[in-house]
This record gives sequence, C-alpha cells and structure tokens, in this order.
Amino acid sequence: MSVEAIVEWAAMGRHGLYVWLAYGSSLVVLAGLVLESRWSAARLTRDIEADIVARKESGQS
Amino acid sequence: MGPLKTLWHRLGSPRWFYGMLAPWQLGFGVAAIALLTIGTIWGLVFAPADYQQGESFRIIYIHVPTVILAQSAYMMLGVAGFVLLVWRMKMADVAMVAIVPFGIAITALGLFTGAVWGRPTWGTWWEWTDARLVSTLILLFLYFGLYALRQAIPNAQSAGRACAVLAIVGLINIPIIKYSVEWWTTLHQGSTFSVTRVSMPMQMWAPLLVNVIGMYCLFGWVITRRMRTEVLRRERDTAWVNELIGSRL
Repeated sequence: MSVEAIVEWAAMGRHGLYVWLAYGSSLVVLAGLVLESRWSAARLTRDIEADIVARKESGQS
Repeated sequence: MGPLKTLWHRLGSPRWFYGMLAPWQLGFGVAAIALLTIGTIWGLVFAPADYQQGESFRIIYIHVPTVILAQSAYMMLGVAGFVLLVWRMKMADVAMVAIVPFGIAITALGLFTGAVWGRPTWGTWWEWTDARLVSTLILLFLYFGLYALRQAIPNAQSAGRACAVLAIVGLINIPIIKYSVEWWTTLHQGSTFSVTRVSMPMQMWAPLLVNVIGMYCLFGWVITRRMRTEVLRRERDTAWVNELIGSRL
C-alpha cells in the first residue's frame, strides 16, 4: 500500500475531519471509562490495605 | 430448589456476587477489545462508502452502537430499579450505582458523534425540531438526574429507592426515542435493523453488528468492575473483605 493511498484513505473524501473527530472522541471516552473503573478499584483496594495495616499496627484484630 | 431460584438467592450475597463477577469481567474485557478492534477496522477500511453520504457514513460504526448501548443501559437501570423496589435486592442498587456514570458518558458520546455525523450529512450539528435528537438529550438529562438525586439524599437506602422510582418513570422515554422517527417528521432515517428486514447490504451491516456486540461487551467489562468496586466499598469493614485484601499484603 503506497503512502498516497494511505493519505487518500485518511482524508475520507472530504470528511476526514468529521470521521476522525468521531472516532478520536470515542476512543478517549471509552478508554477513559475503562481506565477510570480500573483506577477507582485500585484506589479503593489501597485504602482498604492501608486500613488493615493501620489496624495491625495499632494491635487490633 | 431450581437453579434459577438458587441463583436468585445467591445474588443476595455480596461475597458470592463479587467472586462470581471476576471471570465475567475478564471475558468481557477480552471480547470487547477484540470485537471493537475488528469492527472498527472493518468499518473504516473494508466496508464500502455510502453512495449518498460518502465516507462520513463510517461514523455510524461508532455512533449507532453508542446510542443503542445508551438506551439499553437505561433499560437495565429500569429493571434494576424494579428489582430493588420489589425485592429489596442490594445488588440491584449496586448495579444502578455502577451504570449511571457510564450512561452519562456513553449518551453524551452518542450525542456528540451524532452531531459530528449530522454536520456533513444534514448540514447542521443539531436540530431542535428533530424528535430523536431531543429525546436522546432527555435521556442524558435523566442520567444526570439520577446521578444528582443519589448525591442529594444522604441516606443510602432512601437514595436508592428514589433513584429506582426515577429510573422506572424515565423508561417512558425509551419507546419515545425508538419510535420518534415514525411518530414525527424528523431528519433521522428509519431503523437500519428490524426483525423482518435489514436496509443495508451485508458488507455494511456486518461490521456494525460486530461493533454493537463489542460495545455491549465493553459495557459488561466496565460495569462488572464498577459493581465489584461498589461491593468492596460497601463491605469494606466486613471480615471477608479484610481477609480477601489482607491475603494480598
């Protein structure tokens, strides 16, 4: 596949701006949803771990 | 006791629920990445352009799955709300907490990609007289309303019930979105898929179907993780959570 063919495909006729804006924003939002759920889970796990360590250090069961 | 009844009773156990969702989360994640990658490349590279819309038609491969999911997620909210009100099942409330922020993001994305598709296709980003656009905007407001309502009520149980009622009442908007193109004169075309007919050739609808299924898998991936996190948050002072997290230290 030549560079010209790739450039022509990426231009999407005269609609490249719209097509890539739609797909770019979708990638950002969908990846954001996945990563946010991952970070929330990791943050909560760290909080609970800190609680457990604090309780152990203070001698509680 | 039948297997369904057994499952129903087990759903009342946060510990069982948390463990049960783990393999589903992984499976949904793998399927979502695979299907969305295949469907998107297929739609962008191999599917033919529309003879009227040209290349901007390719936006529907991401726009249509997004808006289908936005409506499906709301229907799941309604079902979860019903289960919460009738059977007082805590996991239904957990599901509602998990779905609402996802619904906000996915509905906003659906509206945005629709606007981006509308500009080259209809010559406008937005049209207030289009019933489908306005009813989908109302769906976004319903999601925001559910989020705000939960934040506004300090008592978690009361907040859950209030959200359940709003979710069920808001279900009336789903058939309005679905049939708006038939009930009113709109810019939107009719449905692409129905039980009896498909209005596109296979080369065009197949990648769309792959992305729709992929989007449902992404929903499953994110929601199972969010539900598991919510279960941990609610149960963080219980022995089983302390054993589970403590064993990793």
